[in-house]
Amino acid sequence: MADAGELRAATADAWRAVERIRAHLGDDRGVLGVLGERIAGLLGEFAWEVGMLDPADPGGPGTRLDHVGIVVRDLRAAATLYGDLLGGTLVAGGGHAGMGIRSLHYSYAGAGAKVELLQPVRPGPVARFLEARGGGLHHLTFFAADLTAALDGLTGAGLTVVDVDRRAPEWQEAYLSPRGTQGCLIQVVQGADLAPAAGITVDSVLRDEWEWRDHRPRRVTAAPPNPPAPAATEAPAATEARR
Amino acid sequence: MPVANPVVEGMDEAELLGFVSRAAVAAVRRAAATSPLYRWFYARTDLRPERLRTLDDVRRHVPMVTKRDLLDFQRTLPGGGATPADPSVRQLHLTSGTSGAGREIYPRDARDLAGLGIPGAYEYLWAGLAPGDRLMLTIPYSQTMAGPYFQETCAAAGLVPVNAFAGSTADRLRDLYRFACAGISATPSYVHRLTLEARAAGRRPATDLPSLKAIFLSGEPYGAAWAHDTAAFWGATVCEGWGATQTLGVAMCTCERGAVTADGDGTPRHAVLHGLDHRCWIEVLNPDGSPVAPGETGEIVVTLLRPSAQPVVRFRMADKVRLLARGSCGCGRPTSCYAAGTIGRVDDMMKIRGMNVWPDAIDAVLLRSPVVDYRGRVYSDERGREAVDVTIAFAAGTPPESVADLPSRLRQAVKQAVGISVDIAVVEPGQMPEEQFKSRRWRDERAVRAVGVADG
Ligand SMILES: [Zn+2]
Repeated sequence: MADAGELRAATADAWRAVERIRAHLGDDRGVLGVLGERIAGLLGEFAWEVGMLDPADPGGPGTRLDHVGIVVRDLRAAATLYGDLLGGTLVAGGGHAGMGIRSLHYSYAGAGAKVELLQPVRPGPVARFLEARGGGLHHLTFFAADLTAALDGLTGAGLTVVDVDRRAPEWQEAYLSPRGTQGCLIQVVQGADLAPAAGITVDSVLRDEWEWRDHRPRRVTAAPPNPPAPAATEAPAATEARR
Repeated sequence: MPVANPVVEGMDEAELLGFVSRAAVAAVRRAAATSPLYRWFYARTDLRPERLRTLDDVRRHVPMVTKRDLLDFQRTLPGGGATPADPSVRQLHLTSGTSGAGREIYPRDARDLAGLGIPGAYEYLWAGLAPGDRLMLTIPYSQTMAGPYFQETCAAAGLVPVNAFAGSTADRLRDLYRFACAGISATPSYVHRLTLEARAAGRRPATDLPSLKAIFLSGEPYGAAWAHDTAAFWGATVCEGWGATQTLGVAMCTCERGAVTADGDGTPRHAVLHGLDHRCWIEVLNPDGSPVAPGETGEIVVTLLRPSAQPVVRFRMADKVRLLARGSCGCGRPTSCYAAGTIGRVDDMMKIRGMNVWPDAIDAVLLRSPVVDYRGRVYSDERGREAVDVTIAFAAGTPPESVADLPSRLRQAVKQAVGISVDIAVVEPGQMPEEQFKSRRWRDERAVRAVGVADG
């Protein structure tokens, strides 16, 4: 019999894979969409039977590292490094008006945690961080199955929890003051795992076609038209119009 | 010792309780945040789900719900709850409605359907059945959702269901041999009937049906002596499972030790049901809501721990059971324990031929002029079938010719209202004994109720 901890970690990997499959299917209600739903249902049962309350969370009652936030001055150059050269897959991103930033989120094969690149586009706390420190590690975000229980444990150990925000049920968060963590800003979140955003590209984020709203990326500008279809299948009027 | 799930069975009691505690707190919070029923129900209370930490918090602060609350809520919905618009719903499970209070509606989503049969698989695998074994299912598809549910339990355990809903008892007996079944799932009453049929046919299953490992009972209480004799005749372990619509499958079941054991002097005694605690948190409570002590009987209150399209949190089942101390079984599994064979109704509901029958519902049909009183009896006929006879008394001075066809009309009315056939006889009013409690109008003389000397 396999070790329960390893079974749970493997289940969490499988869960992320199934979520990726379902994200690519989008709102497809065909057999693929329903099969994806049924696989997710069975995998959820598997997770429960190996002792996981939440298949996205191999640690059970504890927390897991969701992403590392890194501040950069040049988002395109950073995308080349973290995406093309280091082999990351772009899974989310967009402009965040409130924070004055634009972001790209990369996931890596075999790694549970993602990298979030943050580029300031307006004055604000992230811009000040860039000016003061020249960029680099900005924050760590941990997911907790139960924010209340996680914060109980942290405050019980003498840490200072600040900025608790539970307004959105799907994204409840709090921060640990860097003064108590030897300098690192730590965010603790109880929320749903983010499904990869279908169709997102570095260029479209840099063109501000994606906006970070309600804790997830949303496309705000229509996708550019598809490349022209072969002329033979085009209606004459459409061909005329393009000339 | 057969193992259904090494992770869960490998936990110690503290680990399992820790899991149940976290899952129960999460279930309350999820229900309070996302379930229309519980949002509606908790809005009338001062429940603060974010303050709950432990099972004890849940026990003290989360109000219990009843079937009536659910029905009241459903009446607030468009179509009386019959047209839930949630696109994630994949099945509507309707209860039979034989209580007369209404039919509860349980929406099921893909997660529910994926998990429906899993707890039932524990019962089969613990009893020693293995994937590929054949299990005869006799509990019919009609009236209830039990049929589809039993199919799913077979799928979850890898068993081959042999569907025996149609046909005669003789057909089923033949198929038990023909398919070399390893198990039978049936009500105690039906098992009794099969036993009589097998005896009459000269069968000796303990020796001539070696494939049979276990008999899975559900649906009604049974005596230890009867279970002991049944196990001996069939050469199989008599097992038991308890579950309900609300628990989304089995919530308690026996292990390889079965539902009946013998004392040192050979006296049969009911054995132990294990709670499938990691899926369903079971409380056994006094009428005032306090937990009963081990050895005492109380009402079963369930909390479904898995996420579901219809969360179930502290739902009062109106079934009662005797709670036992953890570890009572002696098999070493870390679960909660309950007395097998003893689950019955808190109210006076009777289970007759698999149908839930409330005396109130029969009263409503029978106790109309000129009938002034009646007595009912449920018994096993000479072929082991459950039968019901009812004796009615007319008001003094009722002219006989005006009520000549009343027994046959009442028979039809009972069949229509409660779904069971009854034989009706008429006596003079003076011949009927006085009874103070309406439940005492009924006597249960079914053979499966035969008790062991040590039963109590
Ligand atoms: Zn046991």
